[in-house]
Amino acid sequence: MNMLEQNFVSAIEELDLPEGDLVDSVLAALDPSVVVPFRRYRPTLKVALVAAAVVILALLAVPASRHAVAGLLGIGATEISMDSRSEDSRSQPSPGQPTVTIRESAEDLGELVDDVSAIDALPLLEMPDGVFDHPIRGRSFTWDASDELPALGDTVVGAVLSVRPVESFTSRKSVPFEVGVEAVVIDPAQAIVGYWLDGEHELATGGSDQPVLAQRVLLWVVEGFEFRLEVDVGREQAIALAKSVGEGTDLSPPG
Amino acid sequence: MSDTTEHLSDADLVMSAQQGDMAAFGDLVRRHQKSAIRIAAVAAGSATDAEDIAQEAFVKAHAAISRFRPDARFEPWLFRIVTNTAKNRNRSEKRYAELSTRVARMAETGGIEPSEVAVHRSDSARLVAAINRLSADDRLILTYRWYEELSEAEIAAALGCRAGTVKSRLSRARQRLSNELGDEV
Repeated sequence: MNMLEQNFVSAIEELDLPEGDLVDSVLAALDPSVVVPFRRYRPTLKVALVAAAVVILALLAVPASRHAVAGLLGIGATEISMDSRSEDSRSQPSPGQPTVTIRESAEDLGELVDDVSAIDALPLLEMPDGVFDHPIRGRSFTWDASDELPALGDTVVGAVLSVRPVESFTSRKSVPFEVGVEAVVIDPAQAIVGYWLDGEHELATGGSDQPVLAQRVLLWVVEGFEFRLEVDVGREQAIALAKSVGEGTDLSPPG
Repeated sequence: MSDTTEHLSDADLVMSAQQGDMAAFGDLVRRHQKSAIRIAAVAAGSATDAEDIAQEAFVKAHAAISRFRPDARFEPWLFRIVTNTAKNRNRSEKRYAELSTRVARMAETGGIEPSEVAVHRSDSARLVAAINRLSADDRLILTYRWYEELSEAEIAAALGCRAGTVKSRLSRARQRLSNELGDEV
């Protein structure tokens, strides 16, 4: 160890740090039968977040309010707006640039990551079949279609989980009214809420005007990262998959 | 830590905690709280909320303990949770406090002789000031490598980055620290 390293170690050793014992307060926080003023816990924040999710859920249940609310919707790096075009006009390709199909979207996830050995497996999804890095989409994990994960569109992919840091809005989702957007609570203990888009919709990423088609998607944000799970399963199963993505699982994008 | 558990490895305690043994998790907290508080302070750039951050991180770690592989090292995984918690707090509270040494605090409270202050301040205070000017990621990677002596793979796990980038990140952080010190050390 050279002088710089030795001095650094000494400086860290000399830092003025609290020397309290956390054991009792941590165990008290974990004991559901203990109702004490947990001096460092902020349950009011979590209650507020869950309450906000309930209010949004109630607003979105009223069709007339969806359009007004949708203008406010955004999560992570994704803006969500309601697509007011009729179903007939949506099925017509836009002049100049047709919508990218789900298959084409699944084939454009980014650069393939060769070494996946260091990536922790998700408990419900286990080891991903593919890992891709994209400058805007972030890191994407794919799982092949199976009995539990029906194929997305006409692809061989059953699930796509994309993770990226939240910096600014870099994606826009245009959601048909009949698909809708539903606020859901993914993990009340962690105060994690998200949006569930229960059907096919368009997604534009970065500065691209060419939207891609996506199927059912669950969006949520944890610790400054946006998670996007695209699966063709029901809401509750999607939420269960989202909840299984937890601390200690190495899903952060590169860089 | 109780005498009966001192000989148990982290893996043993984790497996017990995964089966609901709260005393085992308490032993893990006791064993790693000092490190967790230190990493929280380094990540946040301040000791003010280090205990709160470490406590919150342990609560989150318990919630996620069922997904932790006992054969992996516990500290890098815990450190990752601590730093994420610290960064989240910094993002929401916009805090810009600075790390300081025990000597500096004692000097302010009159608990140390002025002559000792002069000696200590000229060395460690300058280095701590340089450390404060680094980014959180630079502070963390240097702490993980030089102080905690984590391997490159463990540093990657603690930082949540690819293992192949650790060497270059470490080199850049070291260079930036040298630049802040004006190559005096």
